[in-house]
Amino acid sequence: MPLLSNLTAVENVFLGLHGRGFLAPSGRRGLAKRYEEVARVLSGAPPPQAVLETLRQDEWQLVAIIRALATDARILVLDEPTSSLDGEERSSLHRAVTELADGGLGILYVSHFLDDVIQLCDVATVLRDARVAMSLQTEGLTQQTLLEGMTGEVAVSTTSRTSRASEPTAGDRSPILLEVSGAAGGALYELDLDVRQGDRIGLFGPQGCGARDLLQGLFGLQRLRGSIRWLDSPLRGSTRSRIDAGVAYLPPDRKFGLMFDWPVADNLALPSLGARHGLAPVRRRANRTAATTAISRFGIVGRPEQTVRTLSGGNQQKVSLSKWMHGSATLILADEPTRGVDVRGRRLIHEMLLAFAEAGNAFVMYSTDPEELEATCSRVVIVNEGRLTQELVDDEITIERLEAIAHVRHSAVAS
Amino acid sequence: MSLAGGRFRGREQIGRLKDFSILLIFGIVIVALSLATPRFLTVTNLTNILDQVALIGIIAMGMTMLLISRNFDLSVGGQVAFIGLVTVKIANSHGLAAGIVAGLCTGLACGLFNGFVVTTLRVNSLIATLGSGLIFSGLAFVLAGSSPISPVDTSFQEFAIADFLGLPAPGWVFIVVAVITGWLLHFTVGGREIYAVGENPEAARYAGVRSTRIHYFTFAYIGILCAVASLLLVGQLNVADPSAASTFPLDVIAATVLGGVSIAGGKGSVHMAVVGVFLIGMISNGFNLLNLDPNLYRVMTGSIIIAAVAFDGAVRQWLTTPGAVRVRARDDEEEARTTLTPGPADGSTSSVRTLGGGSR
Repeated sequence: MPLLSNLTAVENVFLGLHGRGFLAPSGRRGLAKRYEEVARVLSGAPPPQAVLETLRQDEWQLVAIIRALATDARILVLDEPTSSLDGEERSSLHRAVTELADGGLGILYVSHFLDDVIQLCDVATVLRDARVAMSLQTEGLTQQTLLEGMTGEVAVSTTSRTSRASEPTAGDRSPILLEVSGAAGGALYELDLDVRQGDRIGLFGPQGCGARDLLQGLFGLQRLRGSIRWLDSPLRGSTRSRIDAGVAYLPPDRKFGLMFDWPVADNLALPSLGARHGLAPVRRRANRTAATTAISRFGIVGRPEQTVRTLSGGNQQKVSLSKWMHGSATLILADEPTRGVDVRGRRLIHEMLLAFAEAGNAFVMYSTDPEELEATCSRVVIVNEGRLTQELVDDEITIERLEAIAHVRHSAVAS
Repeated sequence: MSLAGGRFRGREQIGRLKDFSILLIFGIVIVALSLATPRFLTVTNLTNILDQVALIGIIAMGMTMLLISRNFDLSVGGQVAFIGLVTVKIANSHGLAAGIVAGLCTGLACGLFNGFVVTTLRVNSLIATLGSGLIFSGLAFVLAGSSPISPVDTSFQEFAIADFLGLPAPGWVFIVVAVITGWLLHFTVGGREIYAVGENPEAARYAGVRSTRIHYFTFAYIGILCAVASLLLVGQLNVADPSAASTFPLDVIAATVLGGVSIAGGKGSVHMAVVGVFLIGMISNGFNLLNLDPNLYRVMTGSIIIAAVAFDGAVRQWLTTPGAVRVRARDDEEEARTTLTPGPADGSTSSVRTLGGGSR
């Protein structure tokens, strides 16, 4: 989001738009008034003097929209506006967009959330391989039709329960990998969690609920208090020692997981760098062979020597994930693993994670998306304000239920 | 995404194109100087150039490593001066061997100090080494007292002017250092880590690269190279002068950057840095041979550096912005032409606005 977190909403909106000299007075009052005028068409717009870093993600989006409106825009292009928002924030943004459209503004809405497109838009245009694959009125349109347009295949569906092989196999008998008790740090207040072999655990909660702090803390990226035991010995030390122990972390933002100008093969070899002696020779040929294997095993569309920047988002995320899977990791901490990934890539990443757990490993995934958790997890832990508030197992995990939990929490916060 | 596929596929070639442009300048300079004066392309002159660039070249190898790891060292001049005085003082009082060992240890200590300030104290390397450079050169002046100190032992001078197999000793040292640096950077796991830390420090950390260790190593390495250069400088001048190496930092960085090593980190190579070192040396040599005003040499070098880096920036910009799409906004009064690019919205008053997406 190209906004400045240290400035107020009104300053962000009119930054560079004053059309006045560098030394001219800032004209604060007049701008605040214009801000109010423009913001009137939107419900839930933040007050003009609110400093951005104190606002929620959806309010940032509203400020960005107000900024666009302040330039007398006739067309508003929204490029994945909801990818960093949770459910309730998303619907408040959608209300705003609908209001604007009713007010006569043209909206071009780019999104990979199919439901949103169908509900919000009048016409849906699917682009595939840089061409218009289909363009249809959304009235009566189904997700299925859009999916077919996107993938070019008939009858694909998002990962569903049917693709999960033997259901609750990971009973209490399989050995414990990770035992967390009383974990605290960052936004995390207190949390207990056991992870067994074959476990597919989801953490569900809004941004800043502490789930991310737990994952990053387990990976040694930030300090975590409490008892953390890995295979019956304490898990501590640097990120390196956790990797050596078999713990891996998949960051939510691919720019933290990849060297974009490096070839796929070198990216896949990245975790092995710190494990070997600094003066050890680079094994270029071995890395290449390993990359060829990983590419075919995980269905990455790309060549070993191709730079990662040139891959699609989904394939980039697959590279980011496979660099752990083809190593010795036994626990993957997946932090919003499919943020900004298209439908097909998303399904493949889910399949990778499911296969990983099936093979006697485990993953803990943080997601704000009920659909994702429903599709992949055998246990979902609801995290709120740094604490575990509820736990759902197997059949209890439904999209409706998770959405209801998110909704209750949101209205509780609002009141 | 094949949307921009055609262009993306050209990326690797562009990287090579950049190297190519430096090699092209290199070739042009060689041809031009050979045509301008018959004295240029002679064995004597070429070994002369090697002798002249050796000291800058030795330190430039360490600077290459530092720049690739996204760090900077402005303190090399101060280090060379300080190490020179420590070496000569100790050599004069305790003998040659003690002096050399003390010099190398001082270099290592200076490097580790820089590493400490940059990693543990988390000071930006530019500021850290600006400060430590002042400290080191200040200490050099303190050690020197009122006047530069000459070494009693003549071995320094004898080595610095000696020839082996037709090449000057400093030239040999430069060659050895370049080979070692090339091996470290391009053929070892540690070298890959240096590139990783410079390319994307966060991603390197997330992949378990111990960047603190890398930063300590690269600063210690350039410290030791400063010690080596300092020993040779003492020999060449036959005196340890606290102000002798004052132009070193900029000369070294100039040569390195000219060789295509990016100060943004992650990009560059030892062989191209060597080309940069020789390019600077040849330009200087050409000015000498042609009896041009030596002050103009600085103007020339400065211009070439700016041109080279501007080119680098242009290439980078071109690589990181996706193709701009021409959008024609339909408007009743005016036919507004606007360029629609994803990412930060600019301040223009176009009638189409883009809000950057959450991730890309």
